[in-house]
Amino acid sequence: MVPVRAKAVEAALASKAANENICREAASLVLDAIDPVAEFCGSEINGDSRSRGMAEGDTGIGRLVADELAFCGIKLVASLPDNWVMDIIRTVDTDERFVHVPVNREEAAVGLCSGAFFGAMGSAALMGASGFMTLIYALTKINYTYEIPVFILMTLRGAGGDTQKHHISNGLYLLPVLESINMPYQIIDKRSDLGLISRSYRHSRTFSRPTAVIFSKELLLGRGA
Amino acid sequence: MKYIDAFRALNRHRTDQIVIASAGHSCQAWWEASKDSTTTFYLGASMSMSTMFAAGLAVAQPKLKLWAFMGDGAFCMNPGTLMVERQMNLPNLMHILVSNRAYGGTLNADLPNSARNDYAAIARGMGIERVFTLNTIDEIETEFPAIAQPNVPAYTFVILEVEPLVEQFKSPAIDLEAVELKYRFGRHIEQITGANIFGFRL
Repeated sequence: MVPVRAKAVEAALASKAANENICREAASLVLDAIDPVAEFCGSEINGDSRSRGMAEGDTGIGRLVADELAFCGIKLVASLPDNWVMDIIRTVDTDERFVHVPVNREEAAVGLCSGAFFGAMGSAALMGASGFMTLIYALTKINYTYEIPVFILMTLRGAGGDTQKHHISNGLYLLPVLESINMPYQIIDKRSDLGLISRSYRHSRTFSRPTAVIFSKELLLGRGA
Repeated sequence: MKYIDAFRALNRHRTDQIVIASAGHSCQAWWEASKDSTTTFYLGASMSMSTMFAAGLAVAQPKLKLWAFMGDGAFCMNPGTLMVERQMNLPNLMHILVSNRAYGGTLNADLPNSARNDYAAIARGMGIERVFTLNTIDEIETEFPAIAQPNVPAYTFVILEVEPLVEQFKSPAIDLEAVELKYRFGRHIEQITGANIFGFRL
């Protein structure tokens, strides 16, 4: 199912210039039909996150996000995988504008980015929502106590449209947790709002604390307008 | 080897290294040994994040030389950090694992499997080649200068085997607020590198 999905998205995007709206609708219909199976196969069966299915297709979002990160002056990207952000991870990994460091856990990403701040190197920590939920001590102890900015990119797991039942907890608690620690965040669900990345990154520097951008499934899987 | 004696010995061999002190007793002992409030960042209660913090600074400023302390209590919470450190393989980063076989910051509480943990073997198992264990002050005096020489080819992992810290110091903790530490340290980095840390504008 995954290659079918990838090819459908690829074909739709390749034809984008010719008939953008029709192609987007066509890709969306295909994705809606196969998403549940593809995502189940990707996240539950394959052991290697880099080969998981959901983000196998190049939707072009990786390049758009990478361009926005580079525009901010971000050079270091520390990442942990989530199926939805694999396109971004693959893009920054091969893009010479970035130093990409795959890390062993989300706290390591926060540590790296916090240290990079003291080297005047712009940085971002890229992760899934579940990973973010492990970070509260690190963020509050390091970044709030010392007032060290850190910029986090994550997924809006558990929201409507996410078919994975194991992300229900993120749907229930991700946003309330962010609000409980007064951490500013922006949800981005369409490509035309990607400029909010720069705004949020800049705010982390002004605010001297963490900020986050949260990407929706629609944006990451190629159906955001 | 007494904990504080080991830190005093390391401080004698320090030249221009930037130090990141970690949770537990390393902040306390390094402050006692060095009284450094400018070129050391005291990352208190950071529970295994000190070396990644140091790695971030090391990758951003490759001309700086970084020493990062981490207690084995913090290490046992996140030994996988060595995988990332080996992957980055930053020659300007030295991870100094302070092995007192206890959770020093919490009254030297028991550490899991403490007698059998072989930190050097763990490091080598992750592909780290520059692994050194220092058991005595004499070893620090004779071996550490070569280990810490500039222009080493790769990342360095040093294990300090020490007794749990039991001494009471007159000034057990640095008397600076976290944000003051941030600015003192950051301004120093700005001064020696020319980097613009706090003047960020997009």
